[in-house]
Amino acid sequence: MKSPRPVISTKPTYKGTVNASKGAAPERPSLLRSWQRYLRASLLPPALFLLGLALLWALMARMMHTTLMPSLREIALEMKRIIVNEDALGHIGLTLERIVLGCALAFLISLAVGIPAGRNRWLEAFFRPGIVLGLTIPGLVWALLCVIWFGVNWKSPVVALALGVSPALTVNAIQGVRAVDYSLIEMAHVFRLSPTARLRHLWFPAMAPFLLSGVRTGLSLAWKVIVLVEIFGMSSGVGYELNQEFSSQNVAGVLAWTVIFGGVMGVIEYGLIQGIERNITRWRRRATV
Amino acid sequence: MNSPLSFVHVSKSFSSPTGELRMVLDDFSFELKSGELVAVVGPSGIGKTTLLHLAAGLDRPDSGSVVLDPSSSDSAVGMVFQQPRLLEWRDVKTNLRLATDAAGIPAEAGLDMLHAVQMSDHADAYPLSLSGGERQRIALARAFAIRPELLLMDEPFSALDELTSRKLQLLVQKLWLERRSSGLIITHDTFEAAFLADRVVVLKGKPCSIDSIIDIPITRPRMTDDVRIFNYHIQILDALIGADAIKR
Repeated sequence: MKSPRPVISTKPTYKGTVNASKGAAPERPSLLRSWQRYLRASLLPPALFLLGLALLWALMARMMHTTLMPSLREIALEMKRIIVNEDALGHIGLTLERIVLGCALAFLISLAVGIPAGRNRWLEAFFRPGIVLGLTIPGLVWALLCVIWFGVNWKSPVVALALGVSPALTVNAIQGVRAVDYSLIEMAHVFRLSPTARLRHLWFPAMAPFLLSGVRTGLSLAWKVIVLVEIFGMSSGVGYELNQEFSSQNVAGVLAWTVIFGGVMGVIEYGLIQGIERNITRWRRRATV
Repeated sequence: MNSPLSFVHVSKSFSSPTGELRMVLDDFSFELKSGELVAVVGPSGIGKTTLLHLAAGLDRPDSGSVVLDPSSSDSAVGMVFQQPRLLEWRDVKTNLRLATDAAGIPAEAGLDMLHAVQMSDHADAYPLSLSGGERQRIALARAFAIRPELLLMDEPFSALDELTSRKLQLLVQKLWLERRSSGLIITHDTFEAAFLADRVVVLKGKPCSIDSIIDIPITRPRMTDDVRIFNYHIQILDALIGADAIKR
């Protein structure tokens, strides 16, 4: 016997209104306030760290009082000499050019290997030994081998960088592919999105945080490898100049070059990489305000 | 006239985490008539979503075949998922444009659909800034914008509150009347099935088979307070309870 059913009223009361302001462009904060917030949140902490480091160095240099640990003033004077007399910009430009070319090649290799390996377990197992081997081989080995193989020309630093950096980038690319939401891949399949549209609108944006993290790691590794290649096999670049200062036992000169190039890499990180990061994640800020 | 979707002696099984083979469909056959909307209801885990995935080409049958109307265009299938599945990093109009571009349809069709689902003001918004109901409206607009000859809906309103769900059911009816395609909707909501569908297929057992098919010969537009809809809702519910009680 069926149980009595409740009486349900189904009067239509669907006069829903849409909040027109929701999702619309928010009121923009003033440019000055945005800059103040950026300076406070992004530039002040690293500036304080660097200031602390400089103070610590100054204290140690004063306490030890040796030419092996030059004072901040001596390093600053060396920096001035390098910038004025040593064509610092030319050497830095050459080193950066090699880094950019090497990293671009490494980036392409990592995508070519990382995307299929991230999607296919068999391919990942196939490439895994190469990646592990690549991660464990020191940059010094690539530097020596490439100078032996290619001699003193532009190929040595570029290939050495690509070999030294691509394993770490590939690991990031594989993680990025794994992080792509499978339900979106299904959606793209059902709506028959073209391969180009899938790459541009689905794969790259979803992988972007991992790729950016890879670029950061790659740049820091690249700096370590390029110096070695330039020391062993080049007659120009920051590594070559560092070696010259080392040969003449000029510790302040070595530190000055390090600080100058560190500054350039800092500008790349805070100016370029973080700018790209802000640009590709602006949708998140616009969506959550 | 060709059927927009036919399941012909379809069998499908999956491996469980323990390695055991579980047959979901065994010699399953069903034909969708042109221009009708069929709702599929059944107990949880019976294989409703498997049917939809086979129809969408997201899965392949072990044997038998799933046949789409061979005379239909290449971009004939639109789908509304349980979750909206929008690209969060692209604004609303880009999400629609990607679908219309892929279907070879002018982008204006997407904007027209945004107007139809009352979301024109949100064309430049990002999905994360919208409510669940609004996002599902966009998903509906995307599915209808490509002028699908076959529309698939996988529990499209189950993640929404009841009021929003009812509003979207009315919206689907409105769009359906304007666009007139064929469709399959998977749902747990027997009222939704009675309100939207021309026929309701009740599934039973494992592997699943058709327990009963209930015709709903009520002309559209239908009203949510129509007592006939309510009676069909009860009839479907009874059939569902009966199907669930069948020993597996």
